[in-house]
Amino acid sequence: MFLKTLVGIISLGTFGAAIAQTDVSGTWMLNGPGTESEILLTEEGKRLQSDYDLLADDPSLYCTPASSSRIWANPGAPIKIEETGVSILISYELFDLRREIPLGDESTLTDQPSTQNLSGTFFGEMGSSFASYEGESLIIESRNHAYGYIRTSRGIPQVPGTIAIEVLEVEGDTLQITHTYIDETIFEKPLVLEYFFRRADDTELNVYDCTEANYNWFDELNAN
Amino acid sequence: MKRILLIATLLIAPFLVSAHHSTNANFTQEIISIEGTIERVRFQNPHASVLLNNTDAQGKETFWLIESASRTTLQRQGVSLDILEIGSAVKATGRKGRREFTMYLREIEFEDGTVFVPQPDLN
Repeated sequence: MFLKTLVGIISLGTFGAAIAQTDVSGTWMLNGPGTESEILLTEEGKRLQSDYDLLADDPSLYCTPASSSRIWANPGAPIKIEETGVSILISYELFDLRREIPLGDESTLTDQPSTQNLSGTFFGEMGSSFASYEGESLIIESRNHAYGYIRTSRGIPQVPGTIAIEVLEVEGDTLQITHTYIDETIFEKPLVLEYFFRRADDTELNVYDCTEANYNWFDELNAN
Repeated sequence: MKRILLIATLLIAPFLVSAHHSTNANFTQEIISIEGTIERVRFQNPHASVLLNNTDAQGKETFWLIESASRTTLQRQGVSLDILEIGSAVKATGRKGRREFTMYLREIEFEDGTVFVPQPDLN
């Protein structure tokens, strides 16, 4: 019931997706570790978590984003947000990701992932998204996720049915993102993460040019 | 007294940790030191790293991967790894990795006592 109500509230906001102006535009740097709610996994969630091996399964080893939450929560890498009037473009320096999110309601949602890197590779782990304004908040809803990990350190999973809602709010030079993951198959209750960013408009995004970080070459050295 | 080669910057971020994978998840709190010669230096994303060859008294070689932050993070702090020359004999100190023979770099000490600290705020 709670989930339906929560989704209903969000949907109500998106239905009336008027074009508004917020001040989320600009370049941001993660500021602090953020917060997370209690993580209560269902049996299926626990099964997925137990299958995860941090040293072998972390998608980052292959320059792949594990989830949108993992990409937001990366220190030291600037994130640029641009509002075009018809879409939101979020450029993450990490992995050279470009996430283009149409403004509108659910009808703007496509099966194609919203995120690709500079080489044109799409990443379903980041989901397919649409965005709307509610007051001075920007709300991004994402669905159609590929299997991934919301928390790579502990193997907290996401699955195709997972819905993620990001609420972006700016106060002064601080951007706060409240990121709610909803999926009754893997979470007993929604997982809520918060991140805080400081404005860093004088910081340029560099080309990341990720090199696969898997350790096979290194393991082979010591195997000989 | 050791000369401290402190590569720092006035633009140090509030906190500097590894970029692509969680430092706390991949590295323990145990501080270890390894001596060896520099075999390879990789200044790249998602991790800059130094490969050390540690040879014991019996001549057995063990390679250690000494990881640091991403290239882009280090560059933003004005740090490069140019000082690390292939073949140099060094002692690397840092957090022991959960993966065998890995470490998260805190400092590298050269034979002449010079110490390179890429991320001073970690110490």
